[in-house]
Amino acid sequence: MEYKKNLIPGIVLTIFSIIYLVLTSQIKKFSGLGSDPLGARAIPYLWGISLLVLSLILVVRGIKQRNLAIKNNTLVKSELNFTGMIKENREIVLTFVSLAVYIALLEPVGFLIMTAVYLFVQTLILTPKEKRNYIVTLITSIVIAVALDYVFVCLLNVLLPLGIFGF
Amino acid sequence: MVIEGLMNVFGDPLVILFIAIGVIVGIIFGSIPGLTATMAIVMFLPVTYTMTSTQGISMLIALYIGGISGGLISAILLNIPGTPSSVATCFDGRPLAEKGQAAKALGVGVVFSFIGTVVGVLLLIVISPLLASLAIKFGPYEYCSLAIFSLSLVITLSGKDLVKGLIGAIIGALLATVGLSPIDSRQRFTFGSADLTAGFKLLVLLIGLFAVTEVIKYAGQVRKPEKIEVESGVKMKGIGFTAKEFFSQIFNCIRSALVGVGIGILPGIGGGVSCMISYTVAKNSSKHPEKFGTGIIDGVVASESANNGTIGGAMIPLLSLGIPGDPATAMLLGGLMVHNVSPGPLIFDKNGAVVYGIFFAMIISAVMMMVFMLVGMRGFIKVLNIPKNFLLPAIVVLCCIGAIGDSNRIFDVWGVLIFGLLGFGLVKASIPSSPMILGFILGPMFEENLRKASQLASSDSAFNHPIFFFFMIVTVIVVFMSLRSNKKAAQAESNAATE
Repeated sequence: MEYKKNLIPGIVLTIFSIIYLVLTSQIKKFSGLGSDPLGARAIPYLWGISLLVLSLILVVRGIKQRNLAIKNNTLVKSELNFTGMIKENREIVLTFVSLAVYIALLEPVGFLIMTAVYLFVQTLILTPKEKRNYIVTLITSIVIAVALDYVFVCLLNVLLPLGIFGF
Repeated sequence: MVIEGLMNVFGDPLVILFIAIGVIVGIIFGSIPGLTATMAIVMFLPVTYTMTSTQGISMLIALYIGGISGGLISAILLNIPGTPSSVATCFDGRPLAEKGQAAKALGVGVVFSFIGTVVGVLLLIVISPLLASLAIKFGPYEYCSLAIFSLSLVITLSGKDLVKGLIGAIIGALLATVGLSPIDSRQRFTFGSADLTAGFKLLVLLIGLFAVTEVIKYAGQVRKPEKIEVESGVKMKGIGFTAKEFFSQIFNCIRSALVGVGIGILPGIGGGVSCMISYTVAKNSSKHPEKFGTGIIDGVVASESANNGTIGGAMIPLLSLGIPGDPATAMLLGGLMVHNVSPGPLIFDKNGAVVYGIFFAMIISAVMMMVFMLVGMRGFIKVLNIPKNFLLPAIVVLCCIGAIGDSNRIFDVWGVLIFGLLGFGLVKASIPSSPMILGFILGPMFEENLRKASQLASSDSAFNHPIFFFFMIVTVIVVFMSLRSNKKAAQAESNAATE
């Protein structure tokens, strides 16, 4: 399965570098007094083209490895489809989703409440099912959230979102 | 300036207190596998926002020194390096522990970590002003070539795969092009967004890459927990080894520390590489190389003196050139920026007191590290059992506070999430992340100075700049040599495969 580590990033980065190069061509040039011969596009072009070449190398390498694996009959067909893969990696997906929800609601709802909720959810995600203890997790989450809020807002004067409830 | 720096550190009891807290937290983070010195600094950065620059930076330095030193505890007791810097400590530390000499291994590790740190700091104090006074003469040509040289080093030394190392560095450089271009301030890749116009912040990138990615990696193995048994019965008596053993290791220790400092100065390679190289050097030059790996203190000394020597080494280019030596010092660079200290050749003139404060803080941290670890070893061993499922979410929240607090924008927290996702993708694709950090820092430095040089080219030719040519020639040599050694390694691999 080694070929996937080259082929997939190779394809993703190839697409990315093409988009990047298109966007680079749209940068407005400046040619007034004090302009330099290279301009604002030169270096992004350099990075974009280098990345494109390197990603194509990865793609070629991946295809070669895949062909070799087919030749040696070592190519393992992955039995997992897309939903299977999500299910297999559900903790990772859930971690991203919960973090995204946390960030999205941080400003409207406020730091204290969202942090307590997030800590509770994230801790449960990171705990294997058989070891989950909802009450202990709930109490720890609230205690940590209150402590963090107190330390940063009251002691360290860091500005944190207050939210609709005003705390 | 020296006196002022001294007064800033010793005249303020809070500084001493913050250093003590920093060292303890650092050791804890270093000793727990999966938490690193870099994460400790990320976590405490928001705490330092409202401190004075000396207080804040001293605390971050203490976290760094504690973090690198703490790794030896789990390397010896669990056979898992607490931080990548202690990889080589396992080789001899673990066999020693299995022979029932865990206390001796820990004692040796702690004491020689201390000596390694001190050697590193002394060299830092001697070399960095010299380097700064040399770098003060650097112009666009020199900086441009320095950036190329540093990038080539990072890419060739950070991993086995040149292509992936290069990709890492270029992704970093790409990310840094978002925002206003240097010199002519054109909007690039901003899509008209005011937040993007300001560009991505180094801190945000680091938090995402090194903290969020760790949490996600942990999330991936929730259902496949590793069985870790901590021996908590270790009793420390004094330093655990005899004076004779100490003196027999002096030469090994100094050599290892020097290796560590040397590796630290080179950009992008941290303690993980330095302890391995130093271990190999010690083994190859030893009178009894066959005993390495069976549990002799020479191995522990080599690894621990080197990784702590790297701390001082990595600070040298950070302070005098503004180029961090490894991810942890990149984090310190972020911390220095928060406190309005801009590293570079002028740092001794503009922030002299802070720099000398840093030197003193490093020495105090080293002393405290040794004392705390010798006295409180049992406590640190107990902490190894801390449940990570409670700890990691709290770290994520602290990271978010760090991202918000820097410039009070929620946008930066989204950046943390995006970079966490990116970091996870990089791990999956085995693309190394330290070239990316250096690419992010050096890319803009390269662009700005190359374009300035292109303006100068007609009036001031590159031929007037010997340092420029020096760096370019060295770069060519480095690239050539690494290509050759890569080829050799590939050949050896294919030979092994056909046999």
